[in-house]
Amino acid sequence: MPTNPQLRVAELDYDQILTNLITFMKADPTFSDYDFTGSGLRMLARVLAYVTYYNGVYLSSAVNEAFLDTAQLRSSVVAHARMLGYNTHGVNSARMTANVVVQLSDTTPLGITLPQHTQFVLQANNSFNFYNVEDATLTQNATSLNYEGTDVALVEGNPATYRFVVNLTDPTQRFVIPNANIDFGSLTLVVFDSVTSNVSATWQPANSFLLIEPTDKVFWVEEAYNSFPELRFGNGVVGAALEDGNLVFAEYFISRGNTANSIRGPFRILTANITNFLTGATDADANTSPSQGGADPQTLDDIRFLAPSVYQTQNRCVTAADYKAIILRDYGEHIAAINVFGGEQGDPNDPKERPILGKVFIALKPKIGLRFTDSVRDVIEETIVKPHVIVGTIPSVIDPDYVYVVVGSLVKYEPKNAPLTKLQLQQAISNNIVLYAEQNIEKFDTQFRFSRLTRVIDDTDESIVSSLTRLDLEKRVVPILGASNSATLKYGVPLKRGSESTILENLSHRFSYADQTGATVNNCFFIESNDDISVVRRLANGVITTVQAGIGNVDREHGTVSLNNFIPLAIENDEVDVRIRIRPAVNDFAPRLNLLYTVDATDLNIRVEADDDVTPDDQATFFQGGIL
Amino acid sequence: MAEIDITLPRNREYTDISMTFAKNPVTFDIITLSGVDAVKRSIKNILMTQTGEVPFFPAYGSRIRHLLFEPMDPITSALLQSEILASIAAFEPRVKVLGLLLDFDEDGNRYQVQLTIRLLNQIQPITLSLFLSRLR
Repeated sequence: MPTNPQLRVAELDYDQILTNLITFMKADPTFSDYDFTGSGLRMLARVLAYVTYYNGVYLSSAVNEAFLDTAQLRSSVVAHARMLGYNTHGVNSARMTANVVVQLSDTTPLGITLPQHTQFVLQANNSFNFYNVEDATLTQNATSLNYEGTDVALVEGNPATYRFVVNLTDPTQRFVIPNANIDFGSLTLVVFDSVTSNVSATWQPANSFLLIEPTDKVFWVEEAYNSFPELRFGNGVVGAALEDGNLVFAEYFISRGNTANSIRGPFRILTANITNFLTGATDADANTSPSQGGADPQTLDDIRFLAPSVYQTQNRCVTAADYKAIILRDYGEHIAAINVFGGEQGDPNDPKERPILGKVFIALKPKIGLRFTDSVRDVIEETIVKPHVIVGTIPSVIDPDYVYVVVGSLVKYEPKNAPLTKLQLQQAISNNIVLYAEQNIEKFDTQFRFSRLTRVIDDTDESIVSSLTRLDLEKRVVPILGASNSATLKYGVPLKRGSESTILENLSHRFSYADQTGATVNNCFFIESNDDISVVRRLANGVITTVQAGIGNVDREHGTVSLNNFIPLAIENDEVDVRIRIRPAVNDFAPRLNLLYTVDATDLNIRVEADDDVTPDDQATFFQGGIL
Repeated sequence: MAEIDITLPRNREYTDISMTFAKNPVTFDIITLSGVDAVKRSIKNILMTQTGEVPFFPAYGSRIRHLLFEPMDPITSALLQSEILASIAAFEPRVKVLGLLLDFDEDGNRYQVQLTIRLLNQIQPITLSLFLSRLR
């Protein structure tokens, strides 16, 4: 027996395990050839080390899979999330509503029914199929004799079915549909009494566990292995139970997820189960809302983040964190930034934003675009938030109040060291600024740091030797033309005091305005003097003349610009917004309530010059304006 | 090399287990090999192991098995000799190879190997004879 029986067992590395085994066995003088790679003892030691190593890896994996934070298999992560009451989602189909026009060869009927699951093919390239989820009624247009329907709900994907025969004698039976691209939300279920029976009932997706009666025909959809959906049914106490021999018939859409978003159509109807059908199509004018809601399966990181948060909320919206967790759980794949705050945080000095007790505001920034549509906000408010709020609380989904950070930078670079051309370098800097904005600014829980931004610019390429960066802030107002408009624009930071106008002269988005005589003056813009705002224009000789004084005022300390009785007649180039750009007194910005900073890539002013180029004085002064 | 370092004192006695795993009729313990027999067994193990066959130690072994499927000619014979010498030099530090004879046995479709070696802690040479033939 070994004289030194100590065997080190803590190591997990194969080589170290082998060394430990050999060191241990060497203590026995009976054998001595452990050292030699060809010896039989060494072979035995290797086998022992393999087994030990494999067991170590297996146990390590098993233990890792036992915890949400360390699990790697999707099925493990999903199972842990389910234990916390969080149901992960797989692929979601994009949805949209469309106006449908159908032509028949016989125009006698005044109305027809467009049957459920009629195929709508994207006209441009046939690459996407949408289907109407329900029968739609189309009425005849008296003029064109076409049959028209409005707001027909369409869902992306290809319809498919799957059936199970319930076998209660098989305790291992699971109702797993073997497809990883099924839209859970559109899955419908009909249960027949038996395979040969025509008696059936439609079962509904279960919502609240607590309100389900023993006879309620409900089902749950959960993610099983490989992202396949698994159907679960009640047990006769919570929800009705299936009976032996029942035929479970599932209908669903196989979706393409995120790729089907932002499609407006038009779509064609190639065939429809309508008598005398000729053609069919959808409108696709600019007012048509594009498809949205399509999403790929939740990533593991998302699940790891959201499951504990949702568990903390206990499915109730009480604190701001609860609101965030539940909204992100149910609609998070479309939300880029969220902030929740109580109405009591309103501004007592702002008549339009006075504190409102009992109200909860939810500011949402979508991943695509700047604002959700009214209908989406309603859906979030009514179906996601309201079922979870406490009594007496009124939730309200609102848009962010955007403040645009206008970045201007004069960048000096050494051409000899530059792998990029001047234009490429300029583009690379712009791209980096936009990326920095997406990742660090356009969130409610981050702050805009001037020094970080300049670092991003300087780090774009090693050939950059210096940069001079200036920041302005801009608000965009969409006025009603020809009508009196009032607005209080909040910039979130104090405005810079100086001898010049706080509001910078606009070179675009200028507007036409009526002067004192009623004559229309074009190319007007705002200017500030002694905190008062006037509408002015610049004459050909460079002199600025006032068109209308007393349009509003500036509160430098609180960082607001108020417009009163502002009546623009038109905006140049048929633009829709007037832009009011100011110089901030500070260069670091923190979002508050629904105020959110963002960067518009088209507004970047990046000037790249070789290090030995001489910058004209006026331009150097402009960029110097950013140094406080 | 992934495996552990080797220490080799000159007065060391070599003892190994027999790969037959047979039982000693007297002690009822596993049969041991010692001295020259242990080293011979080790050399056979090295030559019979294909490189890449041992997990975590892919360099261990020799490429003899590949060569046995090549035409039986002087070139293959020379490659075999080279492979045998290289494998022993790499993995069996206890011996010095004094000579290597390799003959064709065309009727038996095999090579006869006669390896003359000397243990580093002994003076007298030892001869190890074995046949190399492919099994399939």
